[in-house]
Amino acid sequence: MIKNQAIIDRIEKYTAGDKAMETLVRKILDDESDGKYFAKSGKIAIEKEAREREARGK
Amino acid sequence: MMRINFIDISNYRQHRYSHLEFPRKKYDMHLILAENGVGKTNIMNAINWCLYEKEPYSDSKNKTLPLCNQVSLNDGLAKGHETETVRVNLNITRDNTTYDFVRAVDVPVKTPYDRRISRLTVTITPPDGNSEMVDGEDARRCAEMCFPPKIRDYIFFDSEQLSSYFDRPANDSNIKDSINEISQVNAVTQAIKHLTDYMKECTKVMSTYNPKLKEKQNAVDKLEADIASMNVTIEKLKDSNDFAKRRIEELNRRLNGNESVADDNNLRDKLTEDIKTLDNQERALDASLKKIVSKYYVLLSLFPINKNTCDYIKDKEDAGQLPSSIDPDEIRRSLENHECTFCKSGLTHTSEQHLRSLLEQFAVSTKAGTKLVEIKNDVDKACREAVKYSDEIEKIKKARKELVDNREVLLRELEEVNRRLSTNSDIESVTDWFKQKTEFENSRETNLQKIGSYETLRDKAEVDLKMARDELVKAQKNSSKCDEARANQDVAREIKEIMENIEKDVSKMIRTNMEIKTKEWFDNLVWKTNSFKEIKINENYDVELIDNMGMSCLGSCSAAEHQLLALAFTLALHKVSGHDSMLFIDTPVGRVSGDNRTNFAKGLLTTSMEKQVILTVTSSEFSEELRKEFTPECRSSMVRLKMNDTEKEVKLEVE
Repeated sequence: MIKNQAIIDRIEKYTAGDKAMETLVRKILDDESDGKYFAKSGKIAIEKEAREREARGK
Repeated sequence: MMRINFIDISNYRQHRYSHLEFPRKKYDMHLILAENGVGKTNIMNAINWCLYEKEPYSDSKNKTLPLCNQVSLNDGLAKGHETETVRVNLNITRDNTTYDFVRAVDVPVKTPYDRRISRLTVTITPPDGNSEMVDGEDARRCAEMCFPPKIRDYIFFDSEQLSSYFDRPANDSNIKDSINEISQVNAVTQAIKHLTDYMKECTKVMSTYNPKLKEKQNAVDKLEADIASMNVTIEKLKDSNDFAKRRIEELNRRLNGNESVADDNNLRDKLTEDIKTLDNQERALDASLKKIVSKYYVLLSLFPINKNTCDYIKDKEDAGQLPSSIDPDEIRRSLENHECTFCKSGLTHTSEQHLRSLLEQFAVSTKAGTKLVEIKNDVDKACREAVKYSDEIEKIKKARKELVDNREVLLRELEEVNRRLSTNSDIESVTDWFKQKTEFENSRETNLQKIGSYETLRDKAEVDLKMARDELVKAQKNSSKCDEARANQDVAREIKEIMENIEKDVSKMIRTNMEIKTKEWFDNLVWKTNSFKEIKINENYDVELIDNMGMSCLGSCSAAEHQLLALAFTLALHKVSGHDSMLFIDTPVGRVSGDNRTNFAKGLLTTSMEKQVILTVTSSEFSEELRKEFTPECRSSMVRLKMNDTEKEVKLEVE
């Protein structure tokens, strides 16, 4: 997982209060640093967020 | 935090059996004392062999001796064993989890150089105590996670390899890659790449419903690839120019005061050449002189005779004794015709006798006279030619004098130039430096032009890319069947932009912090606190040390300053990157003396309050300055390595 506090701080900064996006970005980066395949985790998380946005009418 | 708990070495090289414990006290500072050749460096090699099956640190004996300890091999042979086992066990704690790495290989006692496959196993014990053992690929990944290979040189610090620490070619990105690995920026970079690929996948999906999308996506892809390629080229050219700039600054420092040497050297070559030319001309004049003498020798030898002959002929002519106007053939005709050919009157007996006696007289003198008249011009010409000799000789003499005078002038000039050059003892080096400097300057000029061209092309491509993207988005919006793929792509794009900002920001922050921290450490370690103004680190992590005159001075630093800067850089890296690892330093102060050693010891002692520091030193390195700082109260452990009598086995003495 991501341990570099500078990266963690900037995730918060650049997601500008959007908690869902913050969680998503954090998850993708944690998975990446742990060597997990993007297709198996990141992609799924993105598509889930897209569906939730659709449902929220974004 | 990560630290080594113990290392257990069996049958590995000099270490028949060595067990080193590293208990933690207030200062996590550990010393391993040994003379050269006893096995200090091979402790680092043992750790690396255990983790990566590599022995990257130089030890001259390693090339000639087998991996397995010789005493063990001999014992095994005597006991009839087939093999002896080489085994290294490294036990570490990382974030409250214990990792026990064990690598072993069975070495045949009769053919100990035969390569055998070693096995690595890792036992992982988390805080809850439920151990798990892994081997094969999982064990390898575990080792790389705890000790990433790319940053090995920043955990295991071999002071003997410092000469290449900062001297890397312009396109070497090892340090940058390593830092991105430690700081996890590479995770961000990889994520960006995956997101980019995913966005392309989404477009592919959309283009199955709208074929034109594929065209537009291809156009965007091509422009993005072209821009990326141009950016890479521009960066490489800039890096190359930065490298050239540093080299030029260094060469300027070396050449300072020697600017006229190259000019004088060239002038010397020219003068030598000119003198050679004058010598050749003088030789040519000598040859001409010889030819003239040859040419005139006969004329001059015959001159007195010819002159007398000329004078005689002139006298006879003046006296009318040369038969210039009477033709003997006319007299013969007159006699034959018995009449005078001139007046046509008949000849009397008396006149015929008179004509016959005239004919006899003229016949004799006419021959001589005719001959004299015949040779008169030639003899006269010979006399006139002979007189020309002195003029020609004068010309040669004059030309020769000019040459001699010119050569005098050139020789004096040459002497002066040689005198100037003799004050500089290293003309060849200076000339070479000028040549190098010119080459670097020319290369920079060429690169600047290329950079300009590429930047213009890239800027245009970026404008085209924006238009192409706008068209792509417009085309995507027009297709109602693409909603899902488009929605996914939008989310991915948003994440990608966030990550690009993070990547750029964090990279810049790391570099800035590295500059600050490296300078702080360097100031702590060196005694010349007022000589160096700042440290600059570019995007490729090339380090520039700037002195108080604002000049780059890394090239002129001493070996000790190099070593201390490399150490400062490493310590800064550990601090800034967030990778909290132990530090293992082999022969840390070999090139460092006096106050620098004290500063070094103090600096490392302070570091050891936050991270484990293991030092291997020789007894000469463990001088008073180090002993004063690394007192028994301050250090957590100290072990002395000694060779036994056979010099094939290391013994440990814990102090």
